[in-house]
Parts: sequence; C-alpha cells; structure tokens
Amino acid sequence: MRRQKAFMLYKQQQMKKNQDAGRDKRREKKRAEKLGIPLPDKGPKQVPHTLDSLREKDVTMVEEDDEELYQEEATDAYASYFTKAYEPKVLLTCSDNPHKKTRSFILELCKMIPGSKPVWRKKTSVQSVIKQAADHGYTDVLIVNEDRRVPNAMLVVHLPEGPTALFRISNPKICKEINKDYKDISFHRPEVILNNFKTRLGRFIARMLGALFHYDPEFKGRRVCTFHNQRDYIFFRHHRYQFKDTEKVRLHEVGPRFTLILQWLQEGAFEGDFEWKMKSEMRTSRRRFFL
Amino acid sequence: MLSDSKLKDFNVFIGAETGILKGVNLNEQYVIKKNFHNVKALDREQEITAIAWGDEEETEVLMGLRNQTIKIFDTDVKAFVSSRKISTGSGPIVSIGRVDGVTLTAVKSGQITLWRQSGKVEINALGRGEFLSRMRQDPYSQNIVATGGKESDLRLWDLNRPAVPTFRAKNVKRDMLDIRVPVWVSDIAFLNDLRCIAVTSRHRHIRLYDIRQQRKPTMSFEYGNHANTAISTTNTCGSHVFVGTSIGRMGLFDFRGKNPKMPLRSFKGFAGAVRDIVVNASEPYVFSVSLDRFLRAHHIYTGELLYKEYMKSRLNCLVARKKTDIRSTLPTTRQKIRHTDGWEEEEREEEEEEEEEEEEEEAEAEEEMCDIQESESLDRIRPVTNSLLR
Repeated sequence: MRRQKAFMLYKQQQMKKNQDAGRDKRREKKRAEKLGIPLPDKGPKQVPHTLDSLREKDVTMVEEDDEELYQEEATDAYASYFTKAYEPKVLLTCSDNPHKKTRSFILELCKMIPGSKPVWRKKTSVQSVIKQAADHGYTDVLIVNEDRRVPNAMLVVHLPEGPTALFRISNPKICKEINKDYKDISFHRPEVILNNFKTRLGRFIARMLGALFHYDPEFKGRRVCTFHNQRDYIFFRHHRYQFKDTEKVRLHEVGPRFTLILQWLQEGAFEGDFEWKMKSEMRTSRRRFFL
Repeated sequence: MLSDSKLKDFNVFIGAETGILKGVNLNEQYVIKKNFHNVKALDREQEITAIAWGDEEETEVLMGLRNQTIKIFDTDVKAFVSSRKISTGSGPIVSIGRVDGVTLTAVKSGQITLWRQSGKVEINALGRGEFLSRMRQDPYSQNIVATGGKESDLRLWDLNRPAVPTFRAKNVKRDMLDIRVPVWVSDIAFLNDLRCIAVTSRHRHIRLYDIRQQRKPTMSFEYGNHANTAISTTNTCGSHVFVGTSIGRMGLFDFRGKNPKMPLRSFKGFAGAVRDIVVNASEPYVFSVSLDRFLRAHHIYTGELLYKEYMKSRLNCLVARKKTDIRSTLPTTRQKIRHTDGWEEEEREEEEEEEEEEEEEEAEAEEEMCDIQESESLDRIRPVTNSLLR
C-alpha cells in the first residue's frame, strides 16, 4: 500500500512536470507570434525510426521490371485468374462442431466473398473436402479452424493442384462485436486492396488472397476489402466508402475484422513439398520480415 | 591447377521450374549468376526436371524437360547445342544420364530408354507401381541403374540384359497394426565403399539395401515428420549420406555409426523443401537447391552455412563441377557463419554486388587479377579440423 502511494505520487509529479513543460512551450509560441518573431526553422521533418522503416534488407525483395518474375507469374497457378479465364467459386467450411462465433464468422465471410458457399464439415477429412470441392467445380477452399470457441486458423487451398497456405487468425471480430450489422454488407462485388506486400513470397500470398474475390468489382456497391501487410501481420478490414467531394472520402467500416499471420505455404493441394515454412531459427531479428 | 580454365568457369548449373538453366560462378572474390535462356520464350512445359553431366570432362550439361525434350548445353561455347524431342510413355523426364556417350532417359510412366543408334533399348521399370520418381546410375559401372517410385520399390537393372531386373527389393514387414507399409521411393544413392544402396522415401523412411545379402533392407528407420525428398553420398566417407526433407531439413547420417537413426549433423538455413543435394567431389562442401529459390553451400564437417544465393525461380536440380579449387570456389572471407543474417553478411553482400556489377562485364579480363588475389588470401582459408575427419 505504501509502495503504491509512493508510485502514485511519483506519477503525479511526472505528469505535472510534463504539463508545465507543454504549457511553457505553448506560451513561448504565443508570445513569439504576438511579437512577430519568426519561429526557428527545424528543417525537414524526420522519418521516425520504427521497426518497419528500419527493416532489414532482404534479397527476395521484388524489383521493378523483373522479366523472370513476370514470366513466372504468367505461368503459375493463378495466371488463369489474372487473365480472367475463370470466376472464383469458393467453398467455406470449418472444423467439427463450430460454435456461435465461428459460425457467424463464416457466414459473414460468405456474404463478403462473392460466389462463396458455406458447407458443414460433417467430420470429413481435409483431403476429402478438397477432392469433393474439386469435383463440384470449386476453385478455392477456405477452412476455418476454431479453438476455445474462437476462430484461430484459416487454411486456403487453391484447386485443383494447389498451392495451400495456412494462416493463423488473431483478434477476430464479427460484426456484432464491433457494433455493426452484418445485414449492411451488400451483395455487390467488392474491390480488393492488397497493400505493402514487398517480397517474392509476399507477392505470391497477395495473389493468393486476391484470387478469392471476383476480378470484376461493382463500383456501384462502394464496398472495399483491404489486406494490409505490416510487419508480416496481414490486417483485414472491410469498408463502405463515400466521396464527399474531390478531396475528402468517408469510410464506414462494415463486416468482420481480423488479422492473418502466415504459417506455411505448400506446393500442392494439402500435399507435397513446402515452399516456405516459418521456423524458430528464422526469427533472428525483430527487424526481419518475410512478406 | 589455376591454369585450368574450367576453374574459372561457372561451377554450378541449376535447373529451374520456370525452365531456365542458371549458371553460378562461386568465387572467393565475387559471385556471378547467369540465366542461359531467353526468359520470354519459355512456358510451363519446359520446366527442367532432370540434369546431369554429359561427359567426363564436364563440357556438356544434359537436361530433361517436362515435355520430354532432351537439351544439351555446351559449357565451353555457353550455348545450347542440341534439342531432341523423345516420345516414350508419358509424363516428364525424371532422370537423365549417359552410358558410353549414349543418352539414357527415364520418364514418369516408367520407361527407361537407352537411345542407341543401332536400336533403342527400352525397359519398363515400373512393374505394378503408380509412377517412377527417380533413376540413378551406379557411378562405378554405368550399365547398372537403380529405379524406384510410388508403389514401385527399388530395382536394379543391367542395361546389357534389359529383360529382367538383377535385383528386386522386398518390402519390410507389416507394422504392429498388421498394416502394409506403403512404398514411395523418392531418391536413391549408391554407397560404393559398402557396396550398398541407400534409399529415401516420401513416407519418411531411410533404408539401406545390401544387395548381396538379402532383398529386404538391412537397415530402415524414419527421419522427421515429413517426406524425404533427396539423398546424396559424400566423397569423404562411404557410409555417410545427406538426406533432405520436404519441410527444409537436411541431415547427415552415418550407417556404420553407433546410432544411425540420429543425424550426425543437421544443416540449417532452409525455408522450403530441399530438392536436390550434390556433394563437391574434391572439397568438403555440400550444395543444395530448394523450393524457397535459394542455392546453399554448407560445410560438411562444421555444418555451417557458407554461402547462399537467391536465384529468383523455384529450383529443381543442380550439377556441380567435380574438380574445383578451394581457392576459387567459395567466399572464405567470412569467419563466423552463424551470424548469417547479421550485419556481416549484409556488408559482404553489398561488396559483392558492387563487384559483381563491375566484373560481370569484363569477367574474362579479370582472370589475371584473380590469380593474384587468390594467392593473397590463402592465409584466410579456414582449416578443416582433423578430429572430425574420419
């Protein structure tokens, strides 16, 4: 108790000190303005040192005008999506006995992704889900796993021949938890923003996530899904926008909100060799990022 | 040795999934990477699935493509000298080789063909299996080949008597639940000192067959939790093998050791599946390519990562020159390899990049310079600890 009191006293002193300092600064500024004294020039604004801005140099960073990259992207598994050869058809399922939050999460994802369908898992193995989905003409499968009644992982499989990626979901929020109504999500096809994916792996993951949505957005719906990568955390947000005038835009958040963290990327459809896997030995520095 | 022009040439050739043949000149001073293909002219069907030396002098690189084409690259003139389409069976060429100057191919559907001008010799090596995944030649007698695949266990063939296999492996006993152990051979290596054959399978097994003794493996154990993809023998000890897995682990095993199941050494630094392993014949280095688009070189005895290079495409297979000089092979300037991602490497890479740009243009003109620089840096070569040598 005594210790706590001492701590509180110390805190109060500190706060007062800070306030005084701030007040003095403001007073000084006001006085200078009154007397017409020009403020000292501080020079250009400096870029703050953050983990992101001090990121370690990575050889796999994508360069502009890389012929080899374009050639590979023109022949990889998602090449036909980007040439608009097929419309994505997504099957959504979950682990066995999903609880309320996971069920709403899946339904909201379904409402968000055009051409998707929720299916009960019914104790089917992942291989069987993949096989049946491929037979029914689906192009992608999303499997949401839950732990302690909360969605905790998402498996993204591209059909028929892979690749597969496992993401950890952190901080999932369904519409109700952020005081939104899932009925506000319109059926218009959304725009997709894939932000800040810089390495070769990141670029591939961005293609993978982008290919879940229809390539042709309906701008009438003013709906936008954003995957923003920051320090290997992929933040998902879902907004409706409105242009107030030529400069200002209003954003209204709808739909679910979650963060994805890549665990591994596999070559085939839930089989085959791993193209990338997170290992503890790779975490050599806080400033090393892979996406 | 330094007068040999080949030492200054590209010492590693890599086949990529995009169909590009890549040459790498690993050197103490700088690194040169080169693509030998025009990138735009390629498609998915031209993926390089197998690669091998065409002759003893290492002037020809044989390549087998996905669309059953054999291409030959001449390392002297640095150009593709021939391209030939074959049509046997179906599927990509899984392995390629030469027997007395005659090309030998194996395709995924199981046909092994020796393309003699007088008439081709064809073997159907698959048996009742699903597909073939690898064929390897005995390095001491080229007429002997070993094959294996999915549900097709190890078989040895003599190309002079192609009718029946000289050796057919028998599967191991049923497991404790009385269930048959599945077979999926992924890679084969000939251990010449022991006169044995080592096999890895995608069902995690590592097996040793003594073909004079019995049809079942004399040793069989599991490594890791994921499929084993590649195996290679070493030049220094006949009972040592390197095994790579699909999750990016590589271990060195000793079949004669006290506990052969435990790897003697694990090699780190992989993010993706190890696709192919080649051990340098003259120096204690092991080269490996992996699906995470990196070429890596590890030191066999210390297990440290000497060198890694980003190759932009997903890599399938590689060949390395047998005769390389330690002074011209690898950058030996780095002392502490454990800090591979620290500032030391960055600094070194920056230096390399600068030098690379300059020297790529006039690589030949630099040759003389190299001699001087190499002799200067002799002192910096790390000695190999003798206690680790067997």
